[in-house]
Amino acid sequence: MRKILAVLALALSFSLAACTSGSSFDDSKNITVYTRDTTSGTRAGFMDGIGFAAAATSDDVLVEGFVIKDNTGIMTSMGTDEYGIGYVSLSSLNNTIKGLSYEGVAPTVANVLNNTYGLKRPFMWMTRDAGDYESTEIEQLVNAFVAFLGTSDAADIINNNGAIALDTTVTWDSIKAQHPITARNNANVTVRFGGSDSIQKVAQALTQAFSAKAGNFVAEHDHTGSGDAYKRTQTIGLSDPVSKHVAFASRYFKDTEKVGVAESAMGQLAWDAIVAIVHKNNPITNITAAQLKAIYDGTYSKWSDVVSE
Amino acid sequence: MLNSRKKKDLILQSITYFASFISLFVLISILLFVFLNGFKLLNMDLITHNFESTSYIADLKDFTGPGDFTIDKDFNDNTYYSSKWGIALTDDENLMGHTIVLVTYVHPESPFKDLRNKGVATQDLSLGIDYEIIRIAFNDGPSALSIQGAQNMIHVLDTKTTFRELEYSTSGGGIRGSIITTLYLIGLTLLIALPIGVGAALYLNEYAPKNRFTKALRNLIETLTGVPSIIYGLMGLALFVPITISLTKATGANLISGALTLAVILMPVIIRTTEESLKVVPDDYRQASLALGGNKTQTTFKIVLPSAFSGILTATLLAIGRIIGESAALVFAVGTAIKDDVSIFDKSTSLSVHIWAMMTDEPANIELSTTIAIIILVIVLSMNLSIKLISKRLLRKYGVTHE
Repeated sequence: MRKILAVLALALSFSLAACTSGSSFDDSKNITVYTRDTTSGTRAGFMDGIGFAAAATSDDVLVEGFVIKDNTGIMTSMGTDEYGIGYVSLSSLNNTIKGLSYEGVAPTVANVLNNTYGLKRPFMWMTRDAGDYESTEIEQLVNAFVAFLGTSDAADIINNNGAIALDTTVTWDSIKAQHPITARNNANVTVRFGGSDSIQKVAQALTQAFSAKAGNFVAEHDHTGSGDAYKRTQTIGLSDPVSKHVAFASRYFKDTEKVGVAESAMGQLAWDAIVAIVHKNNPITNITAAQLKAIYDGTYSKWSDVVSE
Repeated sequence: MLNSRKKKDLILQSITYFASFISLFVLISILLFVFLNGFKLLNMDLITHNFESTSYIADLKDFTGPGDFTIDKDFNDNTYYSSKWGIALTDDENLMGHTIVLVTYVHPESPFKDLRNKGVATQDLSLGIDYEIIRIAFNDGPSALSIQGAQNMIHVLDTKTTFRELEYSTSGGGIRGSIITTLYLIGLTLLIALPIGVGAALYLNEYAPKNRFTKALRNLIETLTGVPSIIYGLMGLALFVPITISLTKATGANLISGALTLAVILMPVIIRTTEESLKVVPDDYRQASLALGGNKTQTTFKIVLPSAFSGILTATLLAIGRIIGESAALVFAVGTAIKDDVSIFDKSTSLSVHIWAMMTDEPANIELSTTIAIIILVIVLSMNLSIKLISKRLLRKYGVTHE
């Protein structure tokens, strides 16, 4: 028994020793560059924002040795990798990591709303073509949902979930008479939503709020990425179960995606800020577009290059 | 000579110490990780609550104006009370660890008790405790949002004399549906896999001729354990889902197709374990039974099978552990839609797929995932203990103690 206890104590002390490490930041260390993959809307928004648009769709122009991770992967890596740098949506930012000011402006909702924070991207929506629905009920509900997106009620929900809504004063109460479908019981109608996973949280909150206003229709969410917003609403037929009625993208639609899509079948619902993030021990608090570009294209390889500026 | 042997012994001995130390270390770190991350969200509500939350939209009914609802009651530090409206709000966290504004007290005569439903249902609403307030909208000025906290919401309410719209919801995020699904899956899978697995083991050990073919069959079954479970999942999607759709009222992936897939995964484990326990039944038993005039079938089912009971229980236990832990195969064969009303003809998630769903959320909910992992650990542990207890009882009853 005593032996077992001794081994236990040893094991515990080992694990504790592994947990505690020094907290001094050594700026002669190389920067580990984290990025999302090329289908990510966050990546497109970030690279376009820092003036490095070539890196939005190609990995070849990035610094050697970069790491590709998803949103959660970048967040958890930045909690442990002292010398890493990455970027996430403002709505994901929490206190386990350090969000950097961009060009001297702190990443806050207020700064995005007053248009001083520069690194931001749009949240867009796209629906199927008129008439391309299983039933007129679904089409009318989709139209009502799109109208709802422009109201202050939807803006509240968007703001409540970390994104930044467009300015509006229209209330749902004042336009709901134009959408009689919302006055009946729609519990047996299912509307399928998809597209960007960065918008999933906002989109789910929006459909939950709108369902209560529109006869409790069922909203089915399946978010797979911004690229699927156009694909699954425009090119995939209704008979395929992955087809969507409404889908979202966390970037502007590309010109190739706008071909043949009616002006009324797409639009913007909100803004989202992108924040460059580093480990909490990192001494820097502000970063510029030029610095970020230099880090991501490999001009700056050590943290001292950034700090010395 | 003696000295070098001593050295050798010491080295070998220390290797065993070292090996056990490493395994203990790994086990403890996993347990520490799971408990440190998941303990915070662990409570009874998580197990009993539904996952889906229902939203309500309401406004004031027959409203004349706010009154004076001063009460003599002490609230917590993070609870704020509006004596003008008779409502107390608290900053809290819901079951999924998200911050919310929770209703903790409503005065019996508060205007919030008498609300008009703005949705399609006609019945009136009444705000009670344990609802989450999402937003309160006003005709003049911006809305009070839950993200701004309870204090702000009460402060804004106190400056207004009426509001345009109140949006609130029941608290969701519970895993009740996933627990029920897991139990269904365990029951259904064992129902399918045990008879087939035990039957096959009986054939292989008692009836099959000892030739090349039997050996090849046994090797094939053992190879099956090495196939990645996601391949079984694809097989379930391609084979069992269409079969169950055509035979039952199911319209897509469902619990039956999931149980069938799991049964295929478990078959090799059950056959192997049962066969091992059949092998250790002493040949004396068989010969004694035959000598007393029993035929081959009677011997197999009345003498050998009951003697191998503890082995079959072990197989069941291993199977249950595998069913609870399996996620890759089930993502395809049962789907990833978290349901509160579980039907065996519909999609649903087991606890481990629930974890998968939480980890693919944006951003991943690591805390809730580890909380569910704790619950899985507790379920496996209690099943382990209860089955050991049952097997002890049964063994005493049958009087077979060949272990």
